[in-house]
Amino acid sequence: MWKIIWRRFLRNRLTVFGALIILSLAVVAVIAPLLAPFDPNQQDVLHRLEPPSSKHLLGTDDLGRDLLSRVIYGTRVSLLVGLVAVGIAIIIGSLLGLLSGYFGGWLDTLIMRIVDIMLCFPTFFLILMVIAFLEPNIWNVMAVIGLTGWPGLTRLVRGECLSVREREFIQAAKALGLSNMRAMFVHLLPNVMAPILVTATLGIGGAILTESALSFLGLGVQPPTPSWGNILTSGKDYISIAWWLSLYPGLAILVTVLAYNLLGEGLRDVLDPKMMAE
Amino acid sequence: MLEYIVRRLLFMIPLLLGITIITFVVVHLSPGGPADMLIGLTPKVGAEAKARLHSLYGLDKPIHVQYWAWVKRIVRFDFGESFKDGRSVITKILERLPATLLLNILSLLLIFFVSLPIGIMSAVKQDSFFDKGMTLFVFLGFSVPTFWLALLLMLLFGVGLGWLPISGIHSVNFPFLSFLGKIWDLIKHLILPVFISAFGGLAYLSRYSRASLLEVLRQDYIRTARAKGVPEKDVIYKHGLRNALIPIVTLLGLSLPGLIGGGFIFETIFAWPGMGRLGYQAVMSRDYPVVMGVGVIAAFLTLLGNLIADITYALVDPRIRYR
Amino acid sequence: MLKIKDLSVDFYKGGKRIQALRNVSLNLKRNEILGIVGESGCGKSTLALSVLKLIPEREGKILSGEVLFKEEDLLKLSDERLLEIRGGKISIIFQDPFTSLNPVFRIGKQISESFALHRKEEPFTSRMDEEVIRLLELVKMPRPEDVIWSYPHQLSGGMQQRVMIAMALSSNPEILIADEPTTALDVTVQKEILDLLTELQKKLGLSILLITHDFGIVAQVCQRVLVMYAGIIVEEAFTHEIFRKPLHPYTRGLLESLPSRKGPVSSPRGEKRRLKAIPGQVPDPSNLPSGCKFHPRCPMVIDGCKPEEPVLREIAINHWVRCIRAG
Repeated sequence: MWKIIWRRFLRNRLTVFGALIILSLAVVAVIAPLLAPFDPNQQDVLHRLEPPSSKHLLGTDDLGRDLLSRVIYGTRVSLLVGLVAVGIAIIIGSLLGLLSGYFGGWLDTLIMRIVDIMLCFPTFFLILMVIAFLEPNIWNVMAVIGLTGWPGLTRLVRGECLSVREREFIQAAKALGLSNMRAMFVHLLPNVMAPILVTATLGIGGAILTESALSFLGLGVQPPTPSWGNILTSGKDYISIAWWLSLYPGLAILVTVLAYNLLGEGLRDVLDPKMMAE
Repeated sequence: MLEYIVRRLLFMIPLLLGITIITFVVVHLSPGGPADMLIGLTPKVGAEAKARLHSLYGLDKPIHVQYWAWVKRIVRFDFGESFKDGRSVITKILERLPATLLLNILSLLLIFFVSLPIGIMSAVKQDSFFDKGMTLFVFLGFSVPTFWLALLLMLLFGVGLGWLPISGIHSVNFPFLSFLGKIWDLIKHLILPVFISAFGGLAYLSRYSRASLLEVLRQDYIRTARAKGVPEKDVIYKHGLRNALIPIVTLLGLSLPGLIGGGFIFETIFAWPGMGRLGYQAVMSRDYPVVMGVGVIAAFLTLLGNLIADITYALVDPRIRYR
Repeated sequence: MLKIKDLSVDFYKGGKRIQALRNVSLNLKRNEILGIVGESGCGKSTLALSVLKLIPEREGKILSGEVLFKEEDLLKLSDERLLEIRGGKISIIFQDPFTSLNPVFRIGKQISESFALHRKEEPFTSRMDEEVIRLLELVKMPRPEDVIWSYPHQLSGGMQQRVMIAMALSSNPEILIADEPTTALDVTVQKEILDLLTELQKKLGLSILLITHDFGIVAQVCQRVLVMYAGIIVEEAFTHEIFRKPLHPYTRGLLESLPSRKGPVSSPRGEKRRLKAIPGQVPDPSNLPSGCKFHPRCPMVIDGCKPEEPVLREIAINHWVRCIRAG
């Protein structure tokens, strides 16, 4: 079965393209110190706000720091935030979704009400509010994005559970005396994996967008740590004189999120019908 | 139908309750505790003064009493006074609300009138060059950080070409302009913000319209329409579209929260004097009463959007209207 | 009346090209009810849809053949003329009336749309209402004055199918194609609808092409019948003849697998028998057997069945079979 999935995966060129980009970015993040020509925090006030040149391929920012190096290091932030935030959301969301879908009854109603309430708030503002009350730093950002992201996943997982639960093998397994725990994790979960994976991939893209927006507003990753979002803050401030500060970090975000979206959509096509045919 | 609306309204009550709970919890999360929230004191104030203010504001009372007090205040839209200038929070919000609503309503209209034709065209000419191009465009639309797009457009149209203003709602010389001049000035200021605000929704709704219409065209009743001898144009636009519009129109109402949420970013970028910008400034200056006020109002507007979506759904789908 | 000659149709499903019909020919005579019977997937619905070119381009393609209605080849008509024929001279009703009716339009509007299309009149004049009511009375609809203001989901299955029939008959067609019109209905309602169809046929002088998988319906309603398997016709005869003496092994298998009961479907010795099923499965349309398509499942198969597809031979008067071992 995995071989079939793999082959289908390879057939969709855009998806593969997305995957390759993500892999490259991961590599960049890991070997950032080796790749960056300058120390991203090294200031050189004499050479501030210089346009792209052969020395500073992407130019310098308002404190004379090399933009290329900062963008490269920014990859780490994005990757970290994406993975951790979505990781949190997935764990909470899947767990609650499984519980809700498997047990039903009052537990289901309770969880679904909570989901509805959470979905009531414009997510971004909720995040904003929470960050305002806490301190803006990367850990809080990751936590908050994760904690506001799980409701959607819960609904999805619950829906999948409901349709799978009715299938006979669950009844059969339970008739054989299978414990609830095992039924949920060993039998139900694998069938629900596909949409979780798709949502997770697309979710990473979303988390990166949210983090960069927060950092842009000054409520996310704080300088001097480079995040694509907070570089864009100075981009805004110096918009009329340093266009490169606005262009390149945003481009990085665009390419990254696009890659995740392509991968996610591709996974959706590859995994879903196959799973259903099984 | 009436029964349906009543049910939706009843359903909203626990949600409203939830809003009060969540906002209450968030307030108590802040490091300084709700004392800071109500008093806005710097840490330099002595412990004794703080204790006095605690009892004055009822902060030493048990938590459910505090909660109840909070609920009572919310119901009256009493969020206290702003730390920055001492004015009533609700007044400040109401001043800014029209600007935000103007932006959001125009965005919704833009989204509807642009993404619908795109979606329809994509569905009718499935897999054509147009369709594939639009799909690509939509993908990019999903992936682009809107605030960055705003910056780029500002660069292009504002700084580079100088065609459009990049901040505010009025130009400096606004009071001196003629009536038509004022209208044109307003429009010029609206173009970029509305476009940015609508951008995400445009991408999403185009995709959704396409999917909706495609799904509808696969249905049996479309086949019946053709079998009756209905010309293909009418099959799509009369029989098909009417059905496809049902989920689309509902979705419009549900887009409102997204617009409000996004408003915080681009109202700030474009210095648009709306509720979003107010909220952002309040967050930055730790003006907690205003933050709470904006948060609650935003949540209410979201609920309102959902309610409107539900009602619209009931209006356009006869299966709901007549049970 | 309607002559189909050598119709071949392919389908596209999940990226694969599937053979749906091959060289199907039939002749629907005036005032007759012709049944087309076969299992799911044998191509009978495809046949029905192809007559009016109702298969969307993305889903299927008519490869070759002619569909002659009074000397006009329907497959080669201009778009305009095709629209006139559809719902005008030739109408079709479908299997599931609930999904076949547009959920957002009222019944009256849906029926009068047909009037507007084929009689060139404006919809919803008060005269139109009267005509719609009369049409609904023709199909024995209870309380037609209320029904015309209803939406499809407010009606029962039987009523919905009557609406479909009414729509189909609104412009006095000469031919009615009924694609499994009772399959989605309750058994009691089935009989009502079938009786209605037979009565209307006599009253209006219709020619009906009835598609079904149920031999019982064939026995009740059809004068002649065609048996289809895997996209081809394997037997064709008058109804009573086919029950009396089925010649193709597939037909025989079908008839024998029906539960035994009083009537034409008991064994020659009139005794109760165990339910017999035809061994094997309907072939995968993308991977059809060579030669006679039924040979892998045929109890009478010989070597000669494998290389080449047999032709349709007239074994008895008006009784055609596609089998080298028949007769």
